[in-house]
Amino acid sequence: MKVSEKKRTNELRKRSNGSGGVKGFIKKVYKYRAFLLMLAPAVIYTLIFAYYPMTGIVLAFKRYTYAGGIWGSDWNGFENFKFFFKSGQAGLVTRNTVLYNVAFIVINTVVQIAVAILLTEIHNKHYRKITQSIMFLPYFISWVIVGVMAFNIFSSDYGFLNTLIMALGGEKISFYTTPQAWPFIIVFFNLWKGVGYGSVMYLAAIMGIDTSIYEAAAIDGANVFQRIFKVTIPMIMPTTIILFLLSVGGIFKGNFDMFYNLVGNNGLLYNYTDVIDTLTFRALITNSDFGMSAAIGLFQSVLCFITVVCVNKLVGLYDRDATLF
Amino acid sequence: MKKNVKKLAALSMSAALAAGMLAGCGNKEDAGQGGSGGDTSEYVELKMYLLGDRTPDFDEVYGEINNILKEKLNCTISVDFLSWGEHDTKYSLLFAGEEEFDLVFTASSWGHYEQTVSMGGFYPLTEEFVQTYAPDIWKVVPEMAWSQAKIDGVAYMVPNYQNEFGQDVLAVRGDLMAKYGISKITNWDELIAFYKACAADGMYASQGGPWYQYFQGKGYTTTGGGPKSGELILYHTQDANDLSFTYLLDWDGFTDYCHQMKELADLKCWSSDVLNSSDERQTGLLTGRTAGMIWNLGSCKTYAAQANQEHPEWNVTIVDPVAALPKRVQSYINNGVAINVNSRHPERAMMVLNEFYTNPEINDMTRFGIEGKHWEAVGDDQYKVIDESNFGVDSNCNWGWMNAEIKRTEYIENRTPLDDTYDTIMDVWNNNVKPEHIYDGFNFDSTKVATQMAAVDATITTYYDPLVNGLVTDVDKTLDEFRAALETAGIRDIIAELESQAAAYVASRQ
Amino acid sequence: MAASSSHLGRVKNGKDVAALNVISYVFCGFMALICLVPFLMIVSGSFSSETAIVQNGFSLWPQEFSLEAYKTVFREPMVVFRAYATTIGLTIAGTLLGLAMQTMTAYVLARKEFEWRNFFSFFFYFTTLFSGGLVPYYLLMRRTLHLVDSYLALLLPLVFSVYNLLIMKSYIMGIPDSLVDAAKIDGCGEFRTLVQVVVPLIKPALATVGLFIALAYWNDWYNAMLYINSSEKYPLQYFLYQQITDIEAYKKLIANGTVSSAVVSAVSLPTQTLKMALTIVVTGPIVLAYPFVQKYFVQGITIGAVKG
Repeated sequence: MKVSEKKRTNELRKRSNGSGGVKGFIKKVYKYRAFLLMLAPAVIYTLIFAYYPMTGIVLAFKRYTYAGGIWGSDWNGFENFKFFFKSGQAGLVTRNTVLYNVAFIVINTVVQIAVAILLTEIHNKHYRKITQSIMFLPYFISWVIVGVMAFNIFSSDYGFLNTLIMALGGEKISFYTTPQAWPFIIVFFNLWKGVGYGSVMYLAAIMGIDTSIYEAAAIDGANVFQRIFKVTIPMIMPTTIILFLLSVGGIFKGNFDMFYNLVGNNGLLYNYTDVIDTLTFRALITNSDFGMSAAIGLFQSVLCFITVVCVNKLVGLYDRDATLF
Repeated sequence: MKKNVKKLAALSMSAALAAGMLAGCGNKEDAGQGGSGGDTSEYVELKMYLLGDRTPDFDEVYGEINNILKEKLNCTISVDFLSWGEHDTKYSLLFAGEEEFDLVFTASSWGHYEQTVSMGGFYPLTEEFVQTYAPDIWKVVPEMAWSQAKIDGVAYMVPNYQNEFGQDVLAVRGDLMAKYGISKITNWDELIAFYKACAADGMYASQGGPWYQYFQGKGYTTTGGGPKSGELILYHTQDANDLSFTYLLDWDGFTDYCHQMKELADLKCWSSDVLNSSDERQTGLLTGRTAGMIWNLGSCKTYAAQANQEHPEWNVTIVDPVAALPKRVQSYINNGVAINVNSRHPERAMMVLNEFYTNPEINDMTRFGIEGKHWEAVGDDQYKVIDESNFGVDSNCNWGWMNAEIKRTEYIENRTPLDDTYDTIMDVWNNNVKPEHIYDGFNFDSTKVATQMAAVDATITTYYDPLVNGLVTDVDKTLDEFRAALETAGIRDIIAELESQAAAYVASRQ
Repeated sequence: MAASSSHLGRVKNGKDVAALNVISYVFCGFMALICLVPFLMIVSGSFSSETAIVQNGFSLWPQEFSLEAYKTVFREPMVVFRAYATTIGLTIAGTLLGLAMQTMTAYVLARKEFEWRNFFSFFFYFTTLFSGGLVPYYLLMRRTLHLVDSYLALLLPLVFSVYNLLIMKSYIMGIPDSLVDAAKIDGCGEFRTLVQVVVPLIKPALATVGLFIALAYWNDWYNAMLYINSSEKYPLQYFLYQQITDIEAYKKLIANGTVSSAVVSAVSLPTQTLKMALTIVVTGPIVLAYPFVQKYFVQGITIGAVKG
């Protein structure tokens, strides 16, 4: 009900401003002068710090030399993209990247929202504050150290998990030669590291809900679960959608630090763990070619762009105001 | 603190190594006396980039050096460091950002040499240029070294000159050898027997498969500039008449090796986690988790000594698992110095490098620090450390101008049996140097097949490391997959390009 | 005004409430435990002796208690304190500036009567998808803007984040139009509406986005690596970064069989305990600051009570 109302007012406003042409444009600039003034700092900043260096994308089509620089270097067509497809793993790593990101988005969103909602349901102030603070801690542990800890947990010689299994009379599991285990391990660590950080955003959204709505729900006789599913979750939907869209915008990009520090140079695990970014890293480790890294970056960006435009359109069908643009 | 002691010991090893090589040819008076032929009337300030971290006394030492330079060449030099963690990113940005500097440390492969040359970052060092501005360097650096440094016929770095052996050895627990009834480990079969004995005892033998020992034992070595640090394409270095290249996956030896490793890995000769371990290389030996450690002679001696100190009953010693093999001298372009193509004073930079390289006073300072404070001389060719905590020995990226002709060795006061073993090995090696193979001076320029090289690098880790360490389930199947993957990646183009470059190189040398 | 300990208040005390209570306490407690244990291991590791860590791995209690790692971190205490000062200064300045810029921009993008808001949203969002890579950015900073060895080189790159902007926008859109419209009718200009009507309503959002900006500054080492030369300007994280990336250099070197032994010896790995101690030193203050932000997440907003 609320949504359609918004739409209507929106369209009404649009129609009333419907004059075109240069004159109309100038008129609008004048009309929006306050808005434009408020936007100015961010726009100027973005032009300088984002759009101006974006011209470097041309490197993807050049054989970069120091003397030539970005503009003077020779064009070499699609040569810089070739190594990726020649590696024979392009399909595999692209698939892995997307699947991992889908898993991350779904699992992280669900758990983060659950944590945020459940935290607000805790009545003991200290318990709530302390658990919430603690959940933030993993965010501060760098992936290098997470990698070392993972090794301490999963190593077959003196790893914590195997020691435990042995103590319980089980058979040792050689995790570092068992690729199938790694999607779970990686998804777990990703969740673990982001749960505190991510849930804060939902927590803030929940805190922004007008408490009178809850009171109304209570008067209507809703139980707590109904309240959560009928009030809280719909109310935080706009935030959820924005965060979802932002994640979708990176769906072809892998978190290099995480994958590299957990998996390292263990080729045995690559079928299940190799992503575009780790493959590129290995390809360019001896000859870090700017052109080739620009090419892969562009490849990822274009795919992300296409995906996000489509998803954004779909979201727009549901709620025009929830979209990114 | 402990770290520094280890470091020092390792360095003195390499110093001793070089000295051993050169017993009888260190004629100091020759070096460092020639005047350079450049114009020094204008005072200039030069800038140099080195790798690593600035030690506390670095500026003091270089202040002294600048006093000499000021007087002799009317210039001073300031030094900036790219730390170990950041040089991969920042090295190329120095050139891309057109930073103003003159000299920079470089090294083949890990030190960005080939890459920077291909992007046009270094000043070409013609023979005439070197002879004019660095006549002493020209006298000292052997032709083999220049040949290795040449890319497409031109050298872009001054390679260092020290005769390190490119041969790893095994530091091994003497008590365990005695326990297993193994008296010597001098060849492949004895090495494997030792590995199996360790596994039977529930002990890990080392930190992975002894791959280098295998192919070196067969007379092969890596090809300079080739894919995977040259390991993918080998040549027969022990046979000067054999000009063919051996591609691993066309070689029965590799198949044989992989099968042997599978057997050893299944016996638990090493941990199944070797590919992921974040341990340092010496950790296994020092903590008693492994019976041995394969590394270069210097590091083996350092850590063997440390292990013996902590556990005298271990009686760690050093053995050469390919004892019969004539030894190859390590490539000279592992360390070197280059001049920035945008340097405003390339001539003066070269003259300064000439001093660093051949002036014994400056060279010693860059290695040990200030005489009387950090170290003291023992005779003409040895040194003793007084205080190494704030400068260290060979810790300040002075490797680019290592010069065997004036390189001091460490004076050891209390000798241990390990020192004797070490010296014996050095003596044997010095008397058993391999004759030159023409490819020893060849360095593959991969610019033309950059795409294929990147594709190969991206693919190789998936199969190669697990195979070399025997960790795959089915060796033959993995080898087939590996072969197919490399074919897709374009290994044949690389081999063809490498062979044609090698042929051209051979022709140019005749 | 609802001011109960939970902003939801006690709606109805039935079985459902009890069930939810149990779920909440258990689930949050469990998550917290999983997050706490590794951190405790790091704390205990930082107080252990290196040999014990290498031999036995991590544990919850220090093995062979030792302060060696902290002694190494604070070898030159002034350097560390200066780095703290740099980081704290940057974090405060950057957070305030960033928050102002992002809130102002988000407000405009959230205003439905602004017809060009989709265009501008896209204008900003596009930059998160495509980037020119390191080289052109480096050239911009060093050669065009001459931000070499300057605090501005640490401040500017992080001051504006499109992610934070869009999150902020989504929060502001949650405010009923009627409140803003009422302010306009009362004769407020856009700036006044923003400051007097909107800002008080989005305190949790400001706290969240402010926290994220602060964390970005707190954790930044990359810009320091690229643009800062003099050691007295290094921020705190740069120390941690330098120590832990040495490992990569080391691995690469020993993987390369031909590197000369002098080079290998010169790269010494930081000890495990040092990495742990650095993590604690670098993380500590911001973790302690977190409860101050938390108070904005404790209590909900009653919009009806706030009038423009």
